[in-house]
Amino acid sequence: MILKIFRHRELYLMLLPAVVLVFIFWYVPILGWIIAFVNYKPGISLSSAEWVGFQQFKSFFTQSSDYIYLLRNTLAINIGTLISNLFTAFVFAILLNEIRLRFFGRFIQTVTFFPFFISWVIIYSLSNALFAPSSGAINEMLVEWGILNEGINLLGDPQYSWGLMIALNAWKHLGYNSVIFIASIVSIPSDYYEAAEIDGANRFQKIWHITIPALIPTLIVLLILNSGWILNSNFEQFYLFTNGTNWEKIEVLDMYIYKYGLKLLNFPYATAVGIMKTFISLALIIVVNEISKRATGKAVF
Amino acid sequence: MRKTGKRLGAFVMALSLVLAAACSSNTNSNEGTSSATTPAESGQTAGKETTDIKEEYTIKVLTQNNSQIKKSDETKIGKVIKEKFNIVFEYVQTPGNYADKLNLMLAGGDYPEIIGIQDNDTFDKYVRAGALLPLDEFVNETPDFASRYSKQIPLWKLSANDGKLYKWESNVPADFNNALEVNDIGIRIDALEQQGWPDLLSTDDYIAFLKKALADNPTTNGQKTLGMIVPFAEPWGMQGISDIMFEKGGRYSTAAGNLGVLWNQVDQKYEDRMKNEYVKENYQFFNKLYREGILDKDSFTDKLDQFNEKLNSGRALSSWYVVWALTTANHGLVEAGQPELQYINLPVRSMTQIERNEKRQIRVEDTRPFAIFAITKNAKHPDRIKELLAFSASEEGRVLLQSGIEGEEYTIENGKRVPTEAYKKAATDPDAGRNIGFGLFNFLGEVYTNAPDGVPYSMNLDQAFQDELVLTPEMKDAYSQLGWENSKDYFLKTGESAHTGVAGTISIDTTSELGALHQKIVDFRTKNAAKLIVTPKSDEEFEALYQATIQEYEKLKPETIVNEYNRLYQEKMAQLEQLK
Repeated sequence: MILKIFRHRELYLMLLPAVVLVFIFWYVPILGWIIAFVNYKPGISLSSAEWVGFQQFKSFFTQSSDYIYLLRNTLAINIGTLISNLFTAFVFAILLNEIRLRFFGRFIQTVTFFPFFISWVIIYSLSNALFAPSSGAINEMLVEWGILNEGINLLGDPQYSWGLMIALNAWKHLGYNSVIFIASIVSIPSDYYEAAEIDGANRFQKIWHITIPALIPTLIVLLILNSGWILNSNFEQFYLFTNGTNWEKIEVLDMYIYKYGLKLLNFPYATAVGIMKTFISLALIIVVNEISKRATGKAVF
Repeated sequence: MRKTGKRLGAFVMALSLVLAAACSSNTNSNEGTSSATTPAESGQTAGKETTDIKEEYTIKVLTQNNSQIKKSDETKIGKVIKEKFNIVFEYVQTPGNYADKLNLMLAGGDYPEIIGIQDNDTFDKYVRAGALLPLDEFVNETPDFASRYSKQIPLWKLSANDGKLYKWESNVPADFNNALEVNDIGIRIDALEQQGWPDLLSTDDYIAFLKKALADNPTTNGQKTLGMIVPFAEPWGMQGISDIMFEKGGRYSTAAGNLGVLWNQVDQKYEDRMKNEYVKENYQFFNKLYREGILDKDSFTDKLDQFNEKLNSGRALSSWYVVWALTTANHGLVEAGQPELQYINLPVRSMTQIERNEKRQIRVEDTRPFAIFAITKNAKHPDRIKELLAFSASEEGRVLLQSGIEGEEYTIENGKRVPTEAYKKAATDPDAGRNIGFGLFNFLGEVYTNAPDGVPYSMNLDQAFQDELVLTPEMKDAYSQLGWENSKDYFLKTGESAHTGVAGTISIDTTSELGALHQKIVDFRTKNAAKLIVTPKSDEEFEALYQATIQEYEKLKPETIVNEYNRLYQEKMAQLEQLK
C-alpha cells in the first residue's frame, strides 16, 4: 500500500490541495454542528453555552405544522427542477451535436450558456417586465390583441409557482448543464458511428442506438449526485420570487430556516434544521444509488 | 576582517531597529499622546484646548452608502476633524445583509473600532458578549454629551442587560417640527386639477376620486393608466405598509417598530396588530380598490424598482405610503416635459378615524434602534474616540458636523445661521453634500433638534427651507390651490407629537419560544393580508373572510405576545424610574 502510494507520489501530491480544501471547508465546519445542541449566542464561547440536547430538533416539528407544506414545496420544486434540468440538458446536448454548421452550433451553445451568469435579481426584473399581469410586455400584448381579457398572473398566482420556478431554472442552467453531456458525446469513439453508417443507420438510429446509451452512465451519475441537493433550494431565487400572493406554493425549507433561524438570530435552530437536511439528503443519495444499481446495474458507489 | 564583520553586524542591527521603528503600528492604548512622525495641530475638545501632538489615527467605519468618498479627510468637515484630533475615518463598503455581517463579526471577534448596529437584539448580543466598552464614566465627565442626550441616556441604558450605557444613537433627540414623517398617498396633480382641487381625506373620498380620475384618464402617454401602485413585494411591503392606516388617525403611532403589536400612544399600552380595527379598515380599503380595478394588479409582485419605474413614467394616478420617491419622480417628469403629471403627498384617514376626528399621533423618536453606535473593545485608542465624541456633542461640534463651516455653508445674520448657496447645492446634490462631509459622520450622533439660535442643526430640516429646496413650482401651486401654507401644513395642524419613550426600546428575545411565536403571528398577518385584499368580491364576503381569518389567528394565542410586551413595558418603566 505504502509502496503503491510512494510509486504514485506525484499523482497523490497533485490530489492533495483538493483534499485539503475539501477537508477544511466541508469537514471541519461539521464541528460547528455542536451549536444545534447548546444554547449558543454569537460572541459567547461554545464551552460556556448551556447544553439543550435535541430541543431545537423537537421544536421544528412541534412548533407548527408548517414543515408539511414547506417539505411539499421543496420536494416538488426541486425534484421537478432536477428532472427538467437533466432532461433539457440531455436533449439539448444531443441536438447540439447534430448541428453540422460548427459556427452556428457554438453560437447556440454560447447563447444558452449566457443566462447562467445572470443574477437572480436581474432575472426577477426581466420576469416582471415580461410577465407582470398589468404592465408585463407579454400580457399587455396578449390583451391588446384580444387573446386575453386580463393578463395571466404568472408571478403571483400560486397555481403557476412551481412551473415558473422549474422553467426559470431550466432556462438558466440549460447551457451549463449540457456541457457535461456534450463532453460525454465527444468521448464516444467515432468508430461506432462509422460502423453504424456502414450498416446503413440513419441519424435518428445513430442517436437512439449509440449516443443515448453512451450518455446514460453520465445521466445516472448526475442524477445520483444531484439527488443529494433535493432539499437545498437556491435561496436568492426563492427570496425574490416569493410574495404575499404565492407564498403557499413557493415558500421552501431554506426560506423558513432564514426566517426562523438566521433572521431571528437563532443559530442553534438553523443548524438543527441544517443537520436534518444533511441526513435526509444522505439517505436520498443512498436510496437513489441503490435503485439505480438494481434497475440499470450502474451506480456511483 | 573581524572588525569589518563587527561593523557590518552593527550596521545590520541599526538598520533593523530603524525598520522596526518605522514599521511598528501604534497598538498601545496609552500612546494617544506619544510623539509621532506626523505633527498634528492642537486639538480642541468641547471647548478645552489640548496641545498634545498625536499620531494619525485611522478608524475603519462600515458603510452601506454608495459614496465616492473613501476617507473622511477628503471632505471639508473631515479635514477639520483631522486638524483638531488627527483622526481619519476610512469608509469600508459592506454590501449584503448587514445584520448577518454583524453576527459573523461578533462570532469571530472581528468587529471594527466603532460599530453601527441596526436593532436592539443585535446590540444586546454585543453587550452580553462583552464586545462593547461602557460609556458611563465618559458621560459623567462630559457635560455636553450628558445634557444633549439627557432624555436618551436612561433609555439607552435600558437596552443593556446590566443597566450600563454602551451606546449612542443618531437622529435623536428630535423636535416635532424637524422630524415630521408623514407618508400617506401620493396623488397626481393633473387629476386633482381636473376634479377642482377636492379636499381628499377619507378612504371613500379616495375611491370616488380615483375611480373618476381613471375614467377621465384611461391612458397616460399611450399606456394604460394605473389607479394606485404599491411595492407590496418588498419584504416590508405586505408586512409593513398594507395595514399602516393605524398611524393615520388618533391613538396609535409607529413607536414600537414591532410588527406583531401596536403601541397605543394615548392609553400607553400595546395592542394586537392583526385584530386592530384600523388595520381591518386598511385591508377593506385595499379590497375595494382592487374590486374597482384601481389597485394595480402588479402591486403584489412589484418591488421598489418596478414601483419607481411606474411612478417615474407618470402612468400611476396615486401611490400608497412610499411618498419619499415622489421628489425624484417629479423632477424626472419636469425634465421630460410633463410637469402636469407630478405628485403631491396628501393625507388619508379611515372612515372610523374620520368619525372620531382625533389628533393624529405623529411619531417623534426618543430612541432610534436603527442607528445605534458603540465603541468596541477592539478600539486601539478609545480615549481619542471619546474625545472626538465629546467634541461632537458640543455646540461647536454639532454645528460643524451638521451645518458645515461658517462663511462657506452658512453665514450668521441676526444671530441665526443662514444657509449659503453652497449649502443649498449640497442639500439637493448628494455628491456635493458628501464632498462637504454631510451624511458621512452620522456615527458621531446627528441630532434633529434646533440649535440655540432657533435653526435646526441640519438647516435643511426647516420646513420652509425644505419646501424651497424640494418643491417644484407645480407642487407649490397645487398645495396653495388646496389652501395649504406648506407641504406639511395639514399634518402640523391636525397632528401632535407622539414621543416614543420606553416603547421604542421594548423587544422580545428573538431566540426564545415567544420570539418564534411573535414571528409566527407576523407571518400569519403578512400571509393573509393578500387574501383579504384579493379574494372577497363584496363587503359581505370580506367580513366573512376576515372573521374566519381572525378565528384561525386566535389559535396561535397572540395575546401571549401582547401580554409579554405590556409586562416588559411595565418592567422597563420601573427600571427607568430607578435610572433617572
